[in-house]
Amino acid sequence: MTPHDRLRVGLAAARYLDALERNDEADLESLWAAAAADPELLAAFRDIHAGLLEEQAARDAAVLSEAVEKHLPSAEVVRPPSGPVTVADVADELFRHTPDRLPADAHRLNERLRQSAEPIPTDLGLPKLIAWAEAKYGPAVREYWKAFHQAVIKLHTRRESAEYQTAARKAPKPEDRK
Amino acid sequence: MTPAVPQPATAPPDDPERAALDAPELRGELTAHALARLGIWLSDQPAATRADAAQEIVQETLQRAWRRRDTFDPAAGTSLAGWTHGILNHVLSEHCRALRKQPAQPPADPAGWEDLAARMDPAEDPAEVNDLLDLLPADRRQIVTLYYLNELSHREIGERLGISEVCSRVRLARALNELRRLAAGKEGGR
Repeated sequence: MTPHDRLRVGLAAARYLDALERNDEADLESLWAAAAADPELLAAFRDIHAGLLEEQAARDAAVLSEAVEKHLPSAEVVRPPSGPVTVADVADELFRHTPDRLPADAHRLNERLRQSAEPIPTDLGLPKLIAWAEAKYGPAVREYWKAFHQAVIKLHTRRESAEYQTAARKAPKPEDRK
Repeated sequence: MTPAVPQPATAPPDDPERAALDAPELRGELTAHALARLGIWLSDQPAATRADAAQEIVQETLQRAWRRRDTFDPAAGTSLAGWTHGILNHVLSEHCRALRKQPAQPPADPAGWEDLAARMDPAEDPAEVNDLLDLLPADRRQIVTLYYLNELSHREIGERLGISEVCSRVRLARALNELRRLAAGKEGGR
């Protein structure tokens, strides 16, 4: 595309989004009349639809998550991965899938850890994880840290799997395969 | 419900238009179009309600397209998909009007778009284009710069900003729309 074409298509897509948001029937009609004979405009308008659907899906998911968290506090809302696994992510996981026979102190510690956005260092074995965590958050029974360690591995695996699926979905479009 | 139009169960092999209208890809993109517009118009409704309405609207569109197929003119350079989207646009407008009364909307601004196109023309002085982009907040200026001055594709912009390709398209559209409004305000204030 020439710079002129990029500008023309970029502005037409902007005008289309504006007409959609104002539900301007006359503007929409003239834009679709132009797109019927212009493959680049048609592709741009399709992308606008897909982008709007992405935004709507995110809004719908946020509304649903909020409702679930409000009315079913122990339910698990699986979100797309973003950033490193944090102490709070792991403590949330343990809150939802609590190991049997943990002492009350461990429950209290876990509740406190649900507030910590500290990223967990990668590739820590159980002894090093216990040393790192107890230095920061204080002592707990070994059963708690063992469950914590298993939850770290579970979340890392889940996140890597989701990242792989996201990357796989980003397959190139035919026009990009030049 | 829209009454069904009697049609053969499968497209005859010598009828490419019927085959194209039957194609799941076209139905999918029409559904995305309908859902995008209904998502704005009926944003307060549950997703399932919008999905049901979109299905009905797409079905009605395909039936109208079938009935009006004599008016489709590929010789004029019209694509079947683009022509069908035009019909869908009409059907959507009718449904939107029937579903609820339109609240007052800001008017269209064709002169503002033309003015923006002229001021961003690649033949213009880059310094003046930069001054124009300075009107935008940093995040919006960034996406316009990446697309317009750095000539990146939406895929490349998406990779750089950690967003999808289609999200990049929508963000650019919003940024250009804001630039048009800000540029018009600046002109008016002179």
